[in-house]
Amino acid sequence: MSDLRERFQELADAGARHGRTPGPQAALRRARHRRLRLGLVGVTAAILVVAVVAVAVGTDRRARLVPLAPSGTTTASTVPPDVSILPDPGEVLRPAGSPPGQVGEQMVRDVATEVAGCLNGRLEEQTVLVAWGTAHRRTWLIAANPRPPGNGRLCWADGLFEASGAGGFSNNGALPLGSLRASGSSEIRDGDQYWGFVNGSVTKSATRVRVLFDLGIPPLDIEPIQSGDQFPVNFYAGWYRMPTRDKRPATWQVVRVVAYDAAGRQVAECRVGGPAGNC
Amino acid sequence: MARSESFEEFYTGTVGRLLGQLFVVTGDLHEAEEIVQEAFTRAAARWARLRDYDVPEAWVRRVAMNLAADRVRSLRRHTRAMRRLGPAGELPPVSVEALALAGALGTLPVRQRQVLVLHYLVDLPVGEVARTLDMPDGTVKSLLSRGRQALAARLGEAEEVLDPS
Repeated sequence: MSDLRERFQELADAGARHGRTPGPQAALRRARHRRLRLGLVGVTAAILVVAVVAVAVGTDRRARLVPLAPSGTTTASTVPPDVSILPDPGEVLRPAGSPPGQVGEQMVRDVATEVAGCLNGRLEEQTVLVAWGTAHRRTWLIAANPRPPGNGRLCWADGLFEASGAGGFSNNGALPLGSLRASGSSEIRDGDQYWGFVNGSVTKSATRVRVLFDLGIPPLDIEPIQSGDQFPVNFYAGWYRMPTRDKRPATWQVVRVVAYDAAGRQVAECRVGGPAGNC
Repeated sequence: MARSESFEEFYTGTVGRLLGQLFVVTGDLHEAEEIVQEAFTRAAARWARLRDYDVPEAWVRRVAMNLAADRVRSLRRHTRAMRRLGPAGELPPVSVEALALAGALGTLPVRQRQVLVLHYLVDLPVGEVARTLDMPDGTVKSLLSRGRQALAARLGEAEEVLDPS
């Protein structure tokens, strides 16, 4: 073990020596391509947003533009998701009030690019920013393609970004849609407190998603985000407070997710990790 | 330092280093190539802002580490995706000792691998590793300790196999 650094360096040198990347021009072209294609989408979106808002003013639909209320069973030690969406996000490409500024634009592009990746890079396909929110100095987004590729699959992606625009995002479209899916992040620092984030897709029959954790973290109840008729599922997102530092392992704390319908009946369930893991 | 650099200069000066680091984290050269190129593509889109950072390479490394963790996480959670993994990742020719290290690293959780790489290879202090991975110092220390123990145990086994005497 005394030569650990040397062995690491040898491995890295081998990777650097034998690895092949397309070069800086390819990265610049790809970045420019994304900007241009998604810029066109953005212009179309802006026109649609203006049209939708104009209609909404006339019909008092703006009254419905309220954040989702926290579920009645959300425990005191967790925080409900900071969700703000249009009443019918399927009508617009991007909801009014998308993440602000150039960094926000870039976040939308990053997630939309992930959706396009599921569509074999077809950026001309419509991508809908289904929902986004901010909490704990992070911005999360969920975007999807309203035209399901079929075979029980839907092209959708989620992202979680810092204020600088750095972050992680993933394309979920390569996986079977299922009635309940969950993914997320942990170890998200905000001051002295650490948070975990969970999001996913859920069958439309569900009116409540309950996330169960290990380490004694209280369950978190989340109201699904209504995605509209053009999507076969709804989505959900929520934050949970992580245990104190010395009790916190470096693993995801979500162990099980359960969906309930309006009558309180369980309509879907998935487990995280282990041989039975199917989230 | 980076203020007068063009993106091309920045890319050329850092891509090999980042590729090596991500290769050690992922254990797969092709995956490391894809992750690093994607991280640079995102950097290219933000270069007007990133070029004024003191160390833009740290931003790219951070994005690449996030991408690596995301890939592992999404693969781990879906058995179907696991089946798509296919054969073990591509390894360039290295010494027996480095090969043993690559094998041992492959058995560790991705966060442990990342912490070990950032500390031992990139030579970042614990606090900087914590900032890069957005986790507390204590967690980094714990992951380093557990990672070292796990590597010692696995490399010990590997050495017995490689050298029965």
